[in-house]
Parts: sequence; C-alpha cells; structure tokens
Amino acid sequence: MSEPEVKKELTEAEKRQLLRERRKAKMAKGQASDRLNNILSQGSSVKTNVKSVLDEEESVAKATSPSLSNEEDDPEIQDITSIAMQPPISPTPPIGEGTPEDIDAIFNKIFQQQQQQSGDFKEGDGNDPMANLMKMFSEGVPEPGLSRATTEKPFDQDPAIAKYQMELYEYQQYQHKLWKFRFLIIRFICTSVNFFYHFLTIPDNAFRASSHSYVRGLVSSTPVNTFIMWFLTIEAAILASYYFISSKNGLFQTRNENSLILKGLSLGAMVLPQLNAIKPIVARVFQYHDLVGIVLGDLALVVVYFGLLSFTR
Amino acid sequence: MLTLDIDPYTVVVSVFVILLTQQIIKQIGKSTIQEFLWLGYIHYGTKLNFSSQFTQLAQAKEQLHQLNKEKRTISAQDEYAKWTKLNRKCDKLTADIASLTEDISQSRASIDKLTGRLIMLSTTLPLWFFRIFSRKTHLFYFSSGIFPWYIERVLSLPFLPAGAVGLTIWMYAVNSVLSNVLFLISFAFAGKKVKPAKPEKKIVEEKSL
Repeated sequence: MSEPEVKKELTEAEKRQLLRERRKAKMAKGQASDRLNNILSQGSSVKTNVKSVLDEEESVAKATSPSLSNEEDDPEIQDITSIAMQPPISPTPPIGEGTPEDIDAIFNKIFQQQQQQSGDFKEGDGNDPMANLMKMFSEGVPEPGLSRATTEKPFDQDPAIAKYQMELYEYQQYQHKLWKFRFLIIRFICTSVNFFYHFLTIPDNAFRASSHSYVRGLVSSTPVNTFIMWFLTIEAAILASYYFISSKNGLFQTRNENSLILKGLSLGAMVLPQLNAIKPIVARVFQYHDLVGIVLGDLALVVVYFGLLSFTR
Repeated sequence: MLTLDIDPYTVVVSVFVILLTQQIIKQIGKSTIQEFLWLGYIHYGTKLNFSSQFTQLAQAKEQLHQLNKEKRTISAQDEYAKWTKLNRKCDKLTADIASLTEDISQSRASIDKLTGRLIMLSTTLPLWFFRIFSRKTHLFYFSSGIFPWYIERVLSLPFLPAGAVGLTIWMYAVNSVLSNVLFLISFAFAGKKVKPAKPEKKIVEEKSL
C-alpha cells in the first residue's frame, strides 16, 4: 500500500479508538441504562425504565473475573484494522464484485469456473446438466432447422430471434397450405376428368345414380369398373407423391409439432417416461390420417357428383 | 315414427344449398355479416326514416363540435357569462349524445340478435329438420359395378342397404367438398409469405482476465 493510504488508515483507526473510549466512558456504571432509556423514550410521552445488559454484564464480570475488564465491550464488531490488510485480489473475483460486465461474459465465467471445478467432466457430458445449461448459454441457440424452430426457443430472450422464429413458423404454415393447395387442384382435376369421362362415354346410362332402387338390378354391356380402377391408380400415385414431398419438406413434422395430442404426450412424458414410446406411433398415425383423408376427400367428390346428377333418371 | 315423404332429390339439393350457405357464413364470419347488416340498417333506416335517432345523433354531434369551436375562441375570464352559457349547452348536448348512443347500441344489439336468429333459421333448423324426418331416406343408389362391395358398404353407413347413400354420408361428402373448394378460393386470394432472413448471431467477446 502507499504511504498516504497507510497514514489515512491509521488516522481512521485512531478515530475509532477515540470513539470507543468515549462510548466506554458513557457506558460507565448506571449510565448505559440512562442512555438506553433516553433513546427509547425519544419522541414519546411515556418514559421507559429498562436496565441495560451492559450494566448487568459489568457487575457479573466484576464479580467473577476482574481480568476481563480490559477486554473490548463490543466483541461482535471486528477491528477494521485487522481486516484492512487483506490478501491481494484474486484473478477471478467473485461474481458481482468486479466491474459491471456483460451478462454473457458473467455466464461464461460461471461456465469456466464450473469446468475448473468439475475437471473430470468432458464437454457435452449428459451427466452434468449444469454444464449443459452453461454450454447452452455460452454457445447460444443452435441453428434452427425447418422443423425445429418452434421447439428450441424457451431460453432465448432476444426479440429479433423470437420474431424470426415466429415468422419462420408462419412461413412453415404457409408452405403446408401451399402444398395442400397444389395437391387439391391436382386431385380435383384428376377425379373430375375421370368421372366425367366415364359419365359421358359409358352408354345405356350405366354410369349413373338414381333415387330409384331398380338401377341396382340393371346390367350394362360396357364394364363400369374401369372408373374405380383409374380412381384407385390415380389415388395411389397422389398418395405416394404426397408422402414423398411431405417427408422431404418436413411438412409432417410441422403438423405434428402443432398437434395438441403430441404436445400433451410430451408433457405427460415428464411424469410417465413410458409415453415417449407412444409418441412415434401417434406421429405415424397422424401421417396415415392425412393419407386416408386424401382418399376420403376424393371419394366424397365422386359421391357429390353422383348425387347432384341423380336427377337424370 | 317421425318420417315425411319428401322427394329424395329435393332433400339432396336442399341439404347441399343449406350446407353451402353454412360454409359461406363460416368463411365470411358471423360478426362481419352482423356489421354489414348494421351499416345497411343505418344507411337505409335514415333514408326511409325507420328511426330518427341517427339523424338526431348526427345533428347533436355537429352542434357540439360547433359549440366547442366557439368556446375555444372566447376567453372564460373576459366573457364569463357567455362562456358559461356555452358550457351548459355543451354539457346538455353531451348528455343527449350519450343517451342517443345508448339507444342506438340497444338497436345494434337487437339487430345482432335478429341476424343470429336468421342464420339459425336458414341453416341450423332446416338441417335438424332433415336429420329427424329424412334420416332413413335413401337419397340415391349407385348402379351395380361402379364401386366394389367394400366401398359400397362404407357409403351406405349407418343403416342403409349396400349401394344406397343416406343423409349422413351425403352431408359428410358435401361438407368435405365445400370446405376444400372454399379453401382453394380463399388461398388463391391470400397473400404470399416469404422465408424470413435469419438474424445475425451476437458474438460474445470474452474479456481477458
């Protein structure tokens, strides 16, 4: 330490010594109680009459051991001169006592301290959740893929990234609808062409519906089952291409992420880990539900065409 | 048993029209329709003098605007009497406007209620009518051979003979087709969305210790 600082410290020590001596004088027998009563009754009309502990201690101390009279009266307060000469500042001061730092730098220090303390743990070891958490803070949010943007965001408070993830989610929803739109147009065109071709070409009104049940007994010279053959062939092609494109673009994953059932299973898996085994099965069921929905939708279109044209007989 | 002898094709077409109306209302939105009807009521109600409240409200608002304008031009200290008189008129007009606004909002509530009832009468009630009185009606039959037996069996659900189509399957089919058609139309006019640009990552600089 420099000389003026040493002199300043000694001066402060001297001041404290003086104060201590004056207080001691005031706390002479009987006066501690008077001082205490004075403080307690300040501002009130009721005068207190309490006895200070110091007066009692002095009498007990004097009765038991006269050698204790020279000791300090306020043992709880530590002499500041004894702690003024502290060891030099450590290279890594405790968190919060250094100069104000960026929050990311603070987390980096925590992570480094954690790494120093747990030297046996390697980076990325799954057994150390604290290390993984600090690693996530230090490395930031990982690059979100097409299907992960909506799940990996709970710890990111950056508004720009949150806005980006929201926009990415809306874009994924738009892509899902766009592909649905494209496939719907193809399905409508294929089904309509197939239906009206057979409706117009098959003679004897064999390819008709009617509110009269006798049509069930009519036999046509031209086979009418070519319609269903073409229908099923077109459906198989549409389903295969839909499945391929949806898997490639992650449309199934986007849909599954927004599913309430899967979200409920994820929450339930925190309590019952066995539910994790059911999640892929449920996701697969949703995929097949989409495909079955396509077939049923096209079949519904055929039924509507037959129904609206059933007046012809 | 509750049944009515209605021509099956009448049921087919009626149900189709009702479901189409229902889907269009769902697409437009009930609140939008109510707002549209309310604006029509204001416009034509004022012209045909169904209610004079709109005219009175418009006149009161205009008068209040003029009075406030006049109040701002004079000083309350120099022409206290005149200012107080104007202020009293303003207060009276404000109270009248509040009362007229409340009356009009009650009219609005009655118009909304009427709209809801019209929608129910035109869509929900007729469907329930057909569900009760035409639930066993064979709407139409397919010619033999068009569909394999398993598809005919599915299309004849719940209680009809194979090859026939009933109200349940017909309503499901019409709803499915109409929702797809409306989706095609609405998506065609919807705006495009562009893939957002990823923001740059912050680089955290480690301070040297």
